Parts: sequence; structure tokens; C-alpha cells
Amino acid sequence: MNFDEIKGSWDKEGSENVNIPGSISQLKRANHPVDQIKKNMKFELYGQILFILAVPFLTHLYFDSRLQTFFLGFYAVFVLISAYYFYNFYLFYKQTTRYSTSSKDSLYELYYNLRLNIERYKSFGFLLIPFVIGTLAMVLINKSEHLNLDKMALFGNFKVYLIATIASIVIYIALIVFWVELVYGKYARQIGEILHELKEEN
Amino acid sequence: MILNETQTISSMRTMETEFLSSLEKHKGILHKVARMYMDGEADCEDLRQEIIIQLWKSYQTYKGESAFSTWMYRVPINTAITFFKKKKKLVTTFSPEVFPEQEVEEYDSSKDKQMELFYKAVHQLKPIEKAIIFYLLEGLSYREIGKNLGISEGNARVKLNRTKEKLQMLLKNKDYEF
Repeated sequence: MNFDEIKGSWDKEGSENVNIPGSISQLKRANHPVDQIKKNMKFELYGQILFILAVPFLTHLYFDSRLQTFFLGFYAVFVLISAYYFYNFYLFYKQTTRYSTSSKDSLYELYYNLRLNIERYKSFGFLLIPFVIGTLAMVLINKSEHLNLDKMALFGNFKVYLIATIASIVIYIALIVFWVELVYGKYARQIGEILHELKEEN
Repeated sequence: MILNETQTISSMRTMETEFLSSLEKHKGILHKVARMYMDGEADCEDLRQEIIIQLWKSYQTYKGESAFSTWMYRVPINTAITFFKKKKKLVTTFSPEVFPEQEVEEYDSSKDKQMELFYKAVHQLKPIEKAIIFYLLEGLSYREIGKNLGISEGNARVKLNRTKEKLQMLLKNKDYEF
């Protein structure tokens, strides 16, 4: 194959089919996979924020005033930790990928930001576990007090509760990992493969 | 306050006009990058639009740390490398069997046959290999190719030679040698 010949044709190649718009507003919205991931994560996060905000209203009906105070303290800690995650997600959404650096730098930046946020996203999902367990425990205690049930009878099936809880946690963690890797991990893996292409060859 | 806002809008418009006129001069880069990375006019158009968006985002913070031409190469190439289309597999292995035979039969005589065949072969390359061939044809030295990719000059040389051999093989296997 003669590259000089191709180079000659390459230099002469026209670009008449490329229309530069009269203004930036005429362009479609960013459709890059990274922007899509950010958009998807943002929508899911809105749902999570709504859920967190709805929790005190839903649980309000269940608890008596003594447990209510205890629950609100527990809830406040959860909200504070969630706020840290939300702030970091916000920074990720606002972040612009730098494409003007070398390909290797640009890919590494993209890869590590994606991986970091995928892991953050997973750990935020895991954060719900102690909160849900704590809330359910309070619901059970509250229920036993209201119905004047024997607490020992309530916790008599402790082993069953424990096994059911552990199984639910394992299934929940597996679902989060599966979902996040399926939806967001695929792109990170593709970037990882391209980075591999840039490794030194002898 | 209102005066400041008016000045900001006016300076943004000036910047946008400057940007679009620079882009008009370099639109050949957009055309070639899109043709190398995408198959089909609709996908090419999507990628060109995406490149313009990323160029514009980058232009607003471009402070001239690198030459305009370097910047004008890097942003389109880095955008194209990471722009994966859904439902299309990323070609990660060399497979001459997947060479689209049917499309060659539908060759349009008005187009440059050599370049048509060249682009078809290029579509079988991996994203970094495409970038290497692009830089080679744009006349960049090994050093510049290495710098733009973020690899050493020696590594750029090795990769370029292997990519050229691969491209040659792709064309040869289907009697497309020229």
C-alpha cells in the first residue's frame, strides 16, 4: 500500500458536507456517552433524594413520640452522610471532561472519574442498608410496644429474622453491583480497553 | 450591573463568532475524523456535532497553552476515541472476515475509490490505531504523534509501523491493495 498516494488523496479531500452552524444554539445537546451517564445518574439521584425526603413523613405515622425523637436523630445522621455523597455527585456532573490534553491523560482522567463515581454510587446504595435495618428495627420495637406483645416472643424467631436479613442484604448488594456495572460499568470497561492499547510496545 | 451583563453577553458572542470562523477554516479535520471513526452519514453527523460541542466547551477555557493546531487535533480525536455508538460493537480484534464485502459492490464511481476503500479498512482498526493513522496522514512526526497520544516517541514509532502493517494486511486479504 502506498501511503504517499493516500496522503495525496487525503490532502485533496473536500469537506463540503460539513456544515458549521451559524450559532452554537443550533447544535443538538451533548450526546457523548459520558454526558449520558451523568444525565442517567442525575435522574436516579433525584429519585433517591425524593425517597430520603419522603422517609420521615412515611415513618411519622408509625412511631410514638419517644421513638420519633430517636428516629429523627438517626435520620439526621443519614441525611448528613448522604449530603456528602450528593455534593460529590454534583461535582462530577458539573465537571467537564478535558479533551485538549494528550489522549492518555484524557482517557485516564475519564476512566478514574468514572470508576470513582461508580464506586461512590455503589457505596451510597450500601449506605441505605444500616439505615433501612435501623428503621425496620424501630418499627418492630414500636409495633411490639403498641400491641403489648411479649418482646421475647417477638424476638423468639431471632434466627429466622437474622437469616432473612442477611439474605436480603446479600441480594440487595448483588443487585446494586449488577445494576451499576451493567448500566455504567460497561463504558468504563471500554475506556479501560483503549487505555490498554496505549501501553508500551517493544 | 446591567452594563456588566451586556458586556459579558457581547464578549460571549464575539468569542462564539471567532470560534465558528476558526472552525470553518479547519472543518476538514471534523470531516476526516468523523469518517475514520464512524460508518454512515448519520453517525458521522452525530460525531461532528459532538466534536463541535466539545470544542466549544474547551474553547471557552482555552488559554493558548498549546498551539491552536495541536488543540484542534486533540479535542476531535479524544472525543472520537471515546464516542461509542450503541448497538455497535467496539472492534477490538483484527478480523479480516468482517470486512464489508457488499458495500464494495455498491461502489459509487463518483467518489474517490481509493479513499473509500481506505476508510473501509480503517473502520476495522482499534480507536488508537485510527488516531495514529490520522496523525500520520496529517503529516505529524513520531514525536508529535507520541505527544498527542501521551506515549513515547519510540512507542509511537512501533505502534505506527504495526498499524500500517495491519492496514496493509486488511486491504491485501480482500485484494484491495493499491
